[in-house]
Amino acid sequence: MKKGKIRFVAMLLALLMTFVFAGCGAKEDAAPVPSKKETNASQSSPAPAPAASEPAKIEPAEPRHLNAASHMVGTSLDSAANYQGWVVTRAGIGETLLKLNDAVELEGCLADSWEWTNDYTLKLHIRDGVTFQNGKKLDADSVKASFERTAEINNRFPMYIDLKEFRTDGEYFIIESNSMNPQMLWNLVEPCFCVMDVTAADPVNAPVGTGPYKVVSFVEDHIELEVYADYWRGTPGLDTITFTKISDAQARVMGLQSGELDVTVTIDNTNLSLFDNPDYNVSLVTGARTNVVKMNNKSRFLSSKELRQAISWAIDRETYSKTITGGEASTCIFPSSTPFDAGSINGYGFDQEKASKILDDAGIVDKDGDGIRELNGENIVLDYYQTAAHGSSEAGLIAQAIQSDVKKIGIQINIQSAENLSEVRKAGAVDFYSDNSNTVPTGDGQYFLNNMYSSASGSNYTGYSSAEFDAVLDEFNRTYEAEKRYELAHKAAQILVDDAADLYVTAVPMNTVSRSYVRNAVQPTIDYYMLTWDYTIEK
Amino acid sequence: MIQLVIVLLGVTFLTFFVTTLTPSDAAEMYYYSNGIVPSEEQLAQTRHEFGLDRPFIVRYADWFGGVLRGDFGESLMDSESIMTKYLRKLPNTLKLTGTTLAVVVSLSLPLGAAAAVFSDRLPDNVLRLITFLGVAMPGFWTALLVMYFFGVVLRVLPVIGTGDLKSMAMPVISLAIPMTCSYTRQVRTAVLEELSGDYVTGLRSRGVSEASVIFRHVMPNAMVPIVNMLGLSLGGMLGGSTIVESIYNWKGIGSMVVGSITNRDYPTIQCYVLWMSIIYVTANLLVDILHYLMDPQLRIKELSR
Amino acid sequence: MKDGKNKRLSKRAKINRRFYIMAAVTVIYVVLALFADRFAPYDPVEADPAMSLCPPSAEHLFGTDKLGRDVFSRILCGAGTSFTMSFIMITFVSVLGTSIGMLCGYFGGTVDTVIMRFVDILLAFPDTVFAIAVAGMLGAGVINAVIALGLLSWTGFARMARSLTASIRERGFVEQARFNGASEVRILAKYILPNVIPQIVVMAAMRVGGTMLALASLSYLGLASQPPTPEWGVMVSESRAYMQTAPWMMIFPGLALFITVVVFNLFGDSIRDYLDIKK
Repeated sequence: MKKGKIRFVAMLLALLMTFVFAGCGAKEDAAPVPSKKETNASQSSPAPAPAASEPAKIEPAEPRHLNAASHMVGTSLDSAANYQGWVVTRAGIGETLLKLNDAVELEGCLADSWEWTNDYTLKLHIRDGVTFQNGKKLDADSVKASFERTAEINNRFPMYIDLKEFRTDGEYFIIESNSMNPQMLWNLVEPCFCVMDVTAADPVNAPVGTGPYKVVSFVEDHIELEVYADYWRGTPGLDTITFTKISDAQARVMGLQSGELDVTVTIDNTNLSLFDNPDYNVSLVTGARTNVVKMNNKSRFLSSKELRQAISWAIDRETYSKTITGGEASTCIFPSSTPFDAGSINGYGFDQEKASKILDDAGIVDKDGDGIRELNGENIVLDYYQTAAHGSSEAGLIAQAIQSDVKKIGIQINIQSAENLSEVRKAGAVDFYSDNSNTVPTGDGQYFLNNMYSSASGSNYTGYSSAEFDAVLDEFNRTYEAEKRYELAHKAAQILVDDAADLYVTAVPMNTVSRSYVRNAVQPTIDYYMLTWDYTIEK
Repeated sequence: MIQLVIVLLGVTFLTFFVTTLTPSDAAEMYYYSNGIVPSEEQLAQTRHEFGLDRPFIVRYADWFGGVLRGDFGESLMDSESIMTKYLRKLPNTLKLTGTTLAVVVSLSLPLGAAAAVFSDRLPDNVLRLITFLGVAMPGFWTALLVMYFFGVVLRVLPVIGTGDLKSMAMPVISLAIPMTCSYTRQVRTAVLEELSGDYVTGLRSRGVSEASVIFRHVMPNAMVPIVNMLGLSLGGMLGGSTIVESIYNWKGIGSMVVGSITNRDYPTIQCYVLWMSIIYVTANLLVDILHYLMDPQLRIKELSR
Repeated sequence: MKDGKNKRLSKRAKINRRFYIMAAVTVIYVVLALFADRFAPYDPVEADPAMSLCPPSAEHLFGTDKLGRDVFSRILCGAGTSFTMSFIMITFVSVLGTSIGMLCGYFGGTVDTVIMRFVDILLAFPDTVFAIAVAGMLGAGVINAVIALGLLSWTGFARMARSLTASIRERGFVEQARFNGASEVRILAKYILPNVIPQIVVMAAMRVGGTMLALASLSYLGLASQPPTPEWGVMVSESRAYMQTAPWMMIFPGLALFITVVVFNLFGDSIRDYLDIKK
């Protein structure tokens, strides 16, 4: 019996060992596969292995390969469809007629000059010497064909251009609009207007644009790119790029740390400290988005302007920006990155005494001594709604921080979660909700201001209404000159601040983090762009 | 077969019905997930495009009709055909499932058998403690700890799920820990049960060696309930390990469905439920067949008929 | 022979002792959980951004989170959330499952066959996966999460209650009662229910740990509890971005959940053993 047991143990051990070895064996067998892959990759990538330096002497030059990751890559590379154009511009495959520079001003790209010939007609001169990635020359007719395709496919098109007709006139491409819409010029930077060769056989997987990088292959979330040597600005400083979608920010951070990535964008600001060393470059800018807390100007309590102003004074934006969102505290709806001079807006600081004084003066005091002030005999208890939308937990953290700050001036906030914000908004039960919007969707404030704050807008959910503001907006909608528009946007933003229309909390910062050997990995202010043509690798 | 139809009809109808109860608005989510604040007109138009403005029963009939023709609809998020999407994600999930099950079986069989043979002695007690703890580990936490330990502290394993063997290590470890623990316990119970059988005493009294008793007689019999469990686990795992897949960005069905849930992409979730139902029925069927093959008595009964 | 009896007796005593210890631990735990806000050194939801992401120290035992909230206090208060959710869910599901199971087992017939067939189907469905899909369909929220999990988990209770009822039904004292003209309701309530309840209680107790895990997983995915409610799954989920910079945010809530599940599983096992030997 005992002997039997011992023998059994021996056999069991043997069995276990076999499994363990089989496991190891399997791993070892498999090991050459990934390493083979590595050698494959290193033919195209700057192999970190020192051994590679020997053959490099024989080879003319080591191929410069960049592993880039972004949080978004769609299922198609057809820039005319849905929002897919964003990836096309971000990966440097396609370009638009005009683009936005880092000061959020219009800049020529495929068009080198433009003018309004009248209030309805925009005339753009197509740049000479630009070719598509298949060598075909870019001309006004190919631009027209590309625009027509977008008009046909993209359902946002009518929002951007109220089209009467597209025309060409030699080297000019002409857009005629049915209505007066100065913003149409800015709208041309939207990636759905990437100029692509419409004769390309497979616009979904192998689009042909004019950008510095052309698509070699596109398989689920991975775009393999190679440099387009005849790019019109000059030959780019890379050879090949792998552009991958990694939706999880934490994974992008780790990928960068482990060397699996050379460059990535939009990592959580808390993690930036991990890259604060000579092995990495961190490029940090203020983007075009603002963390706004919408205030229902028509709700029972928040219809009181004094209350809204007091809340605006009571929240500590500086601390929020330092600890929660990163970036800078907001003065108004527009971040300082826009050309609307947000810095000189007369905004709210953090001054709870002033907030209390405003409330005291307005007779909003705590009469029953329960620690909460009353308005019209009722305790001020406000509902702050959140959604899972935008996936950003920062909005949630801001809500909790605001809740705790306004409690100190005797106002209670209850944080609620809503599955569907528009239902809640319609029911009018909401006092606050978080919003994180691109305030200059195409580099211009017209659409955003009209949509959100015009008393005539169907999307003005918070019921803000001001005759003074509407008048400014009216002028804005008829003004074509850029400088003048900037001034009007500034004016409109100031009115919103004075009326405490919403809480403007912090500007959303954006970042690009790269390994130190990657050059020119600079985060653009506008996130239409990522891989610019001047990226290069120097080891 | 009838059961299949009933399950499919019942489960899909139920889940479809559930969507009508939810206040979620896929149209709204569509814009927010693209970082856009939609206007009311845009929302209305999108709802119409998504067909959300039609009555529930019409949508269900439409959908089911489509399924019968092999058309599973399109994802609301990116208008990709859901069938294509599934076929693209399925191999990754299969890979993960297969590897994990192999690891689990090869660990839990010997461990469970050892625990049974040494029941109530040191090896059994140690294993009991470990498996008890392993079963109580929250899966998402285990996965994060594994990631933290191997990916951040030691930096020995890649964190980006590219699909090769190395990048599979962490998800497999995370999945295998709780499963191995629960399987070890099950194997132990099954083997103990067999060991207490009369035939074992008979064999021993006939002088059959202990090893032969265990490997030739006890283990094969104990496999029956284990195979049963394996079948069901396989069914569950083919649905993708939602949490582990999404933690490791493993591009399988599980992480896809988590994404669809975040975006309230109902057609995709609906297909997922359908998929789960099909797998479940198939797994049950497979288990029955395996039972039949493994249990000589059943076969003899069948033959003698 | 005598030896064996002694051994069995001592095993009995051991099980008894274990049961009382586990019961005491569980009661202490539940009391702690329910009154956690009294013990918590800090307010679990009060933000203090100036204290953002402090590592564990004497002042903050488990460190602070991004908003400067004390992780220890949040974990303490999270115990209540977790326990209450699971308790409500188990109670609801076991009452529902037992009622259906008893009725089926007692009356039998076609309805029984159909319902039990249905139960068989649901029983084998992978529960968490299904719950995630259903919760996703229903939308986020604690109630929805409970419904999603409940949709499948009542079946276990129904199955057990049915088989117990069916066997008790045939027993002498039930026949006797029927013969004496007791109504069906009375028989069910007076004679069958008391005999079904112990097994159901064991089953319920053994399910608490698993239910806590399942609910926490749904919370982790953002489908159950919502911030700022201190809940362990939510806390672990929130900690993900700070894995490298503030690992304490991830480690401690998970550990708390882990220990709790261990305690409840041990308690469930000891109830089972205790009732076993009582029989």
